[in-house]
Amino acid sequence: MHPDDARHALDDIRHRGDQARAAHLRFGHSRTALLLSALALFLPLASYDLPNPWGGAMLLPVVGLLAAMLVGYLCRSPVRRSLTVREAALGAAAGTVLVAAFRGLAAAARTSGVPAPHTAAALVLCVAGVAGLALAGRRWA
Amino acid sequence: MDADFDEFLHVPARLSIVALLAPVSWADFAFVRDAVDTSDSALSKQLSALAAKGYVEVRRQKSLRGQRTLARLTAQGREAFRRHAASLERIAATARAPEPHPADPAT
Repeated sequence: MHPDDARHALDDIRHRGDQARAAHLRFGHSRTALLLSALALFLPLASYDLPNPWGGAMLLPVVGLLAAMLVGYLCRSPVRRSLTVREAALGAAAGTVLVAAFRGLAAAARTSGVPAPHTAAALVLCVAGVAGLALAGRRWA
Repeated sequence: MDADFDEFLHVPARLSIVALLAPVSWADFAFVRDAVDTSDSALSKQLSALAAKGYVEVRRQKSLRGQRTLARLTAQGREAFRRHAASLERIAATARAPEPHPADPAT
């Protein structure tokens, strides 16, 4: 085999890999997926403003929402892939930053006299998260 | 020819399908068909050949919108693809390697 033919085959392999990764990103960054993820984040965070037992009861619709998202992923996603160790580590780091940002924003909102500080902080985080992920998805896909 | 070079896998249609399946755990039949720009029957034929060789597993899944066909690389297929790609890298690298000088002693 000529080295040029091997190089063309390698280029095709890279192109096909990029196609598969782009399909995964497109599905994960679709408007529906982003809005459902934001809602699944917003509801438990905002529930801190609710009195018991309503705060805890808010977990039920969140679990239902997550189950629906999983079924949607399994039934409609063009490709499925499992998380790599790097992605899982990034996710854990993002979660830690998210919790810290939520606590900070909620404390700031309470100090400023916002009537529902956790809801306000959750709203800010969700809007920022959706905007960031939508921009990132447009860049990668 | 390099021992890792897989003549069966190097058929362009098969190599494209396997390269699409390599970075994912499962891929939808329709996605693969559209990505490699082929017909249902041509893709079915290639997937059957790959499955017969033990490189690909095909599964049918019932969903709300009817039946869905999914395909994935088996461990054997993944290893064959990895070795074949490494072999292609080595062949491509021979073009970049400097020609040995006639005066150089053979090693």
